[in-house]
Amino acid sequence: MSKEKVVGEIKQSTIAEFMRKRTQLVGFEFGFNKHMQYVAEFLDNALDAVESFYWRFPEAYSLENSISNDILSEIVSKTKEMIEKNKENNLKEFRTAEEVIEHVKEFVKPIKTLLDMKEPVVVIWLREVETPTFLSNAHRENVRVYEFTIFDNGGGMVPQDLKKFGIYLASSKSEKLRQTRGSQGFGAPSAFTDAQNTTGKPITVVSKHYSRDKATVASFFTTTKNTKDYVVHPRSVEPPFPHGTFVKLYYLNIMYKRGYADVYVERAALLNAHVTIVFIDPYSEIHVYPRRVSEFPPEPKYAKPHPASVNIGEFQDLLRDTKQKTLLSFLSKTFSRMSSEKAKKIIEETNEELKKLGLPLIAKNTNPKKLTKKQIEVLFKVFTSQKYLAPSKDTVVPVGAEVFKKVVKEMLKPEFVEAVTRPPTSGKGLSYVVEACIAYGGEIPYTTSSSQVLWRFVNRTPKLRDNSDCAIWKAAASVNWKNYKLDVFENGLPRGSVRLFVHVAGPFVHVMFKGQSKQALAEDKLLIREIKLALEEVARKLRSYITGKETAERKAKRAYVLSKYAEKFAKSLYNILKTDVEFDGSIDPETLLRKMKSSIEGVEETLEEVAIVEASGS
Amino acid sequence: MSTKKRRGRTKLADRKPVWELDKLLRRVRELREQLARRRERLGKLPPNVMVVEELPAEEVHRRIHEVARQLYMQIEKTGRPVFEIPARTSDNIIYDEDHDMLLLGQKRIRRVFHSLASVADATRTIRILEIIHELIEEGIHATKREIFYNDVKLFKEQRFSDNVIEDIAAMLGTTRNSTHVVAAAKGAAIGRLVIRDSGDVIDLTKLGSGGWAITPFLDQVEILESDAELVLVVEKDAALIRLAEAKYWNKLPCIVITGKGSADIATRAFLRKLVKELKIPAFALVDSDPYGHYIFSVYLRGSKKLSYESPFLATPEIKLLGVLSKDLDEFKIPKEVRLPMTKADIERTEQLLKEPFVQRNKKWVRDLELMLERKEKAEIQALASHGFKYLTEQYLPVKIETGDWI
Repeated sequence: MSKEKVVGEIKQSTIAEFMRKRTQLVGFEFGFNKHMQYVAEFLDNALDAVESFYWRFPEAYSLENSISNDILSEIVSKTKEMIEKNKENNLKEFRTAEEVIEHVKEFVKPIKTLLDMKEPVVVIWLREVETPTFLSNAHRENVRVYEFTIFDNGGGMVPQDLKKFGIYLASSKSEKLRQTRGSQGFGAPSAFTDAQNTTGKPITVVSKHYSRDKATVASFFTTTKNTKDYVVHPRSVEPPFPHGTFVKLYYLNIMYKRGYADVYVERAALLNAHVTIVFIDPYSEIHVYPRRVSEFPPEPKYAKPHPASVNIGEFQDLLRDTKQKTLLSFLSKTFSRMSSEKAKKIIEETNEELKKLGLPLIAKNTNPKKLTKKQIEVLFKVFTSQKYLAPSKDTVVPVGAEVFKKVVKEMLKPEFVEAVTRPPTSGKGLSYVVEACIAYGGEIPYTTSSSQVLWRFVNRTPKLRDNSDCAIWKAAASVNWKNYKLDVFENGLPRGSVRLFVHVAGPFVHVMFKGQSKQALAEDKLLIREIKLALEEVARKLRSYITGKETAERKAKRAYVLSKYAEKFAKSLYNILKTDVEFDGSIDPETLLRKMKSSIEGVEETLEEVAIVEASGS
Repeated sequence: MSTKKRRGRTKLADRKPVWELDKLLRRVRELREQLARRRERLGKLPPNVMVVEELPAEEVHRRIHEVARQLYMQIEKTGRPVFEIPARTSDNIIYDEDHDMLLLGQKRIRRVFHSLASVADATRTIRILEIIHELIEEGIHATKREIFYNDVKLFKEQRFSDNVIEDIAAMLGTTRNSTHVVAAAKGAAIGRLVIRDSGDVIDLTKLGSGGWAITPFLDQVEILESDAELVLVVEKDAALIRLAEAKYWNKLPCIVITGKGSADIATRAFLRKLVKELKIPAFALVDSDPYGHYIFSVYLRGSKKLSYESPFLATPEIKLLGVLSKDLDEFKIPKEVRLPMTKADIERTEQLLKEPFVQRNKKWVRDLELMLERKEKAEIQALASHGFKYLTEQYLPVKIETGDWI
């Protein structure tokens, strides 16, 4: 792709259009979750930016070398220096582009080596800052001002895109369904709105597109008219980093608490191990999650609507908005699994129906925008009564069992890990894949909270809220974990030194979310069955591992106990035998002991023990 | 038993004691003859029971080595030693009606070393065998408690080592006494008997009022001479002191022994030794309550726990002289010194009545039934309500002369 052609991909839609398609809103209400919400929205955006840059321009990153421990320690020590230099924690009000650039240079210093190595990287810094006087009332209510800073070395934005950045419904995503983290481009504008509403401070952005020589700096407010009010007008400057985007904003929220934003980053890092993620939390703790795999996931294909997934309203919209000039091309080009033979058949059958009803007939070359309401209804009925092939699977990109196992092993250091990727399946005309992973023992801490046991992921994005409302949770709770030698919570999830990971991937999930914050998947029989099967498959492997380990432990314990007793036994027996004239001192206590010990291994003599050996020997 | 049947007969309380020995002991001597004839009739124990013998130390020593050699051979062959021990479980206990004794069947348990379930007991077994071997080589004795303290770490609890001690005695086919493991003895004996105990000659008529403390090392005791016509086994020390004060054996040629409550093994074995060697009858004098009857039954036939050595502890010849339930009326024991039976007493009496060895003795059944009917009990001391000498001057001579025993 040539540089000249890139003029920006974000296009502005109307509120009405948006609302028609998505009625839910992203919640930024006060609470511990709000910290997580900021991290989630911008980390997802950053990961999307890195990935789409890679898919467009794979040479952008160099993934052959792994990140050494030296580099990791360098990141930590330089980050500490950076925190130290910025320790006056007042609210920054940038007045000029130069001030911004000066700050950004400082901010990216700790990861300079990574940037030089062309490593994909995201850095987030969240910290509490001094509450300005006009907000001093808030402080009394345990409410604080937080500074949120994020940088990614994705492809960056051209000035045209930067202008639209943060404007509602100016999204590169929302038009078609595919396997993406978000689907509506709604997160950043909502975050901006909340930030400036609660603190009265502008949002500062620096972005450099990989195809441009200069970076663009701007500091602004977004307005209710869905425009921008600049404090620092967009200006081209010498780039402080090779490419990517820097965002800084301030928001008001209750005191930060561990267990939300930090957990989100940790979990996101798990399934996005192709990017290095650095998170500096408000306690100045530096969490570094290095890149652990040498490949990016392939780009998911856009999914044309499958006839089975379309409802009458959407069908009407598609007819109205289509660029196709004839009904035949509309049908065959708009939907997946729709041949022109099938489209012809639909038109014929529709005409038969229309004839019966005494309505005007349609033709292959009828303009799709000219159909009457009645004609559309009949057409839709015929359209949905056809049989279609299942949707194609190339719209789904799973993490892969091997990658899953590798990253879980490296991050959580369990004693046992097993993962499975189910074959793709479909629902509502869209494909999806379920992946499950189980990690057990080792350095996994024992937990008494079931929400720490189950890690839910949807399209590589961790889901932390509305746990028990989610199909993943329900499926996990329906597995009989006792069968797999695990203790269980009252709610049915396993407990102890064990973690479950479930990833549902595919464009399907976008039509399955419940509630406005897209935290839970709706219950679907097939989806729950898929998740359950995946979990049971990895659980079976865990069970045979535990059984094997128990047998080994039992054998070791038995051998230990028996050899301890053997020493006493041989000694006592020897003390009797040594006075026996028949042997005339020929008995050797060591030989006695050795012979007894050598037959410790092998088949037990009692019935009970024999039964155990048989059970575990299979 | 109804008193109506006895109408016209004088109550025993009113009967004048006869102190002429030939008359007094007529019934005792008859019993003695009878027992002697019965002894001749009885053959050997049936073949399907564990034959447990008292053995000399050399034989026990030889048998220990036999076991050790077998273990050695097993280790040589398979590395896996195993003990074969006669089961001392209730299903292996046989009641031999002819001999009136409990015996062990031939059921055996295999105690293997190479199993977590039995390795500890197997090791305890060889360890105690080693200790017993040492005791016998040194010619000394030890109590169960001493053995336990020999290796507390291995034995853990005394009941574990106690159990293994019994196992070893059974395994060697001998009595526990023969293994030189003894239980602390608490019994005492006094009266017309001369013995040699560990080399010392002791005349049991010249021991003041306390008597000779029965030793657990009965294999060291030799009966030298006695002209006693009977043995009186009393439940309590108090009764022995009463008889000793009166030097009762001068009036009635007897040996008095007591187990001081429930009899220990040494006392039971000593009684058996006296009855067997002197060929004289023994009579028990216990409280008139179910516990007294139980104590008598232990002398008679042994307790279940030690059943495998019952033949060496039981004295089937012993008779229950008193105090019987019917004696309370016969000897006009005042109501004030009779006690009501408790619920536990009644249950215990009912249990005794279910035992086959009780059921075979009609007189015993009748007395226990009378006890249940009256729901009254009394101690030996209740006789003292007629005066301290009533026991010696009235009760005993009248009972003995009339042959009024069970």
